[in-house]
Amino acid sequence: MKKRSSAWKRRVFIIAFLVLTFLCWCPLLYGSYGPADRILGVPSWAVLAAFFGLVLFVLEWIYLFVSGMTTTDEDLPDIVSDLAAVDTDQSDSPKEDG
Amino acid sequence: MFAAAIITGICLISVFVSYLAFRRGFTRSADDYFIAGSSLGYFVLIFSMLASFLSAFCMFGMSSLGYRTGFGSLFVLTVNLIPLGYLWYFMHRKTFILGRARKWMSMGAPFGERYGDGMRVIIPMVVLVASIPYLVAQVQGIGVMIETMSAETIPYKLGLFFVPAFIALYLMMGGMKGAAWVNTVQGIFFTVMIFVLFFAVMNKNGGFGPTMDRVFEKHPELFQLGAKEGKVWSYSMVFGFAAAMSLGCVCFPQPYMHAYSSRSAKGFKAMILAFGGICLVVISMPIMIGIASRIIVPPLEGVQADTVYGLVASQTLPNWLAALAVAGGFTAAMSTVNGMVFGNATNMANDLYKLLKPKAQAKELVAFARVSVASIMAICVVIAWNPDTPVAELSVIAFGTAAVIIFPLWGAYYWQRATRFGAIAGTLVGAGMNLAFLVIGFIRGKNMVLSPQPFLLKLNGFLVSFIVAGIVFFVVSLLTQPGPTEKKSLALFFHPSLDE
Repeated sequence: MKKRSSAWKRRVFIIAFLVLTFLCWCPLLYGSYGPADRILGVPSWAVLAAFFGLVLFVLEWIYLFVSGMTTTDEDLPDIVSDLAAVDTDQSDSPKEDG
Repeated sequence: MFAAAIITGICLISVFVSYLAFRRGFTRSADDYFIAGSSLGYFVLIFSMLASFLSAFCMFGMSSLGYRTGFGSLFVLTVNLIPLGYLWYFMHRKTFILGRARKWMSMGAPFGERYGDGMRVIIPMVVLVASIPYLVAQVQGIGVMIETMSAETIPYKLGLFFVPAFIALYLMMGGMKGAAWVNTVQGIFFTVMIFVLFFAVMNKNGGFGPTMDRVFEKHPELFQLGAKEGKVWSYSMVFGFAAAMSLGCVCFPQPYMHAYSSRSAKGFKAMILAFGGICLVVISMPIMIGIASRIIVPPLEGVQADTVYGLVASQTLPNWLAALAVAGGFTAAMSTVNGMVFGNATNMANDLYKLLKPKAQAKELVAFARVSVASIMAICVVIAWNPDTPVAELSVIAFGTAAVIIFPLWGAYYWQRATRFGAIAGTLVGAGMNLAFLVIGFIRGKNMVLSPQPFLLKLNGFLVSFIVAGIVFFVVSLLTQPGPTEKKSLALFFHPSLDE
């Protein structure tokens, strides 16, 4: 049950990330060619772009640090030791001198 | 004389900081030299990552772009980079975790383990080719800055030699730890200087609002999308610049090097989140400095506009403070050269040299990386000899070329069906198309990589190359079968403990 709600939360985050990314990468939906209104001296589409950027930043902070859905330092040692034990026959680490 | 003293002082401080890392023994083993023994805390990580990306491009290039084209420049290196908070997490979480488990030190390592030696060779080559224009832009910026700061006492060509020699020295000496410390000091310095210049420029005309009102009266096109009959900041142009820069950031060596060097998961996440937020605040300022300069400095055209930052500093600040403000740009360029050159040298030692000599000792790898640092610097100085392309455009071309690597990177971590043939074909076709557009555009006197082209459905060369690279990667992967390397790598790259 917990895993299912986590999957839903993750989907909601991803959809929000993608929509906000589009808004941060292109003013198609909120800016038009030609003269623009200004807010505090700045074109309104630039203010809106910065606003969408701010919303995305806050959402990313929640996802990375509050949601409990990302890797933490508590999980890390166990994951690393599990992975270090996997045999791929392609050891990459250079030999140290001495 | 004062300017020359500042430049020399910055170079000497950087060498000293790197020397401290060297003296403390942070370069004794390959692990220490290349990835700082995975010991960097979040403060150094954030500023080192920031400084390794933000460069002459962010101060001189972005103020020049703002001066020439207006507020549309905000989509090049500010708001468009906010998505990196989650993009870097999704694309480099496994780089961070697997890097610790497998002792990775270079960009080619994940590609080599997932797709085999072919990709391990191709990745550092493509990244090096993509990095060269960006590095040349920095070296070129450094030359222009020194000439401007010294009122042409130190000519451009002499400046090209002076600073890269110092950079090569402290990179060869201090390794990743030294580079990160130097980057942090330089990053803090140039951030402070951007703030100082921003407030000075806006104060000159009675504050931010009145300054923008005056610019708007004289140059309303700077406040428009689709200015100059839809040619400047059209939707496709905005999207092309924004996507190229953002996706290129995912694919350059810096995120790999910093992921490997991070002490903790918290530090890694803080670094990737902070980057976009800081860029939004800090890089908006040079853009607006450039826009405000339209009513302060005389008209400048093309490459000349790259000097607008220095010119407006000299007209709004006392001489000594103006010299420090320009020196901020100078340190930004230096820190980016640090990050890029060191990342590429690391790739060359650990991916190319290690492949040729699998039993190479750590000392040999470090020595080869040091020679690579000096060689890359020398090549950039030679190419920068005749500056004829604006810094901003050179940099975006570099990011666009690197961005095609995102498909094999995504496939390595998230698509079990990805094959080495798909990865190799997608990377070579994407990078090759970018280079072809660059060369053809150069011959025809048009910037085909960045400017929308009618025969490409009004998309720019970068976007077309990127889309084709993706299609080739997926189609070729589906048409070919995974080989033994790909099959064996699944146990590692798709290990259940990596699931979230």
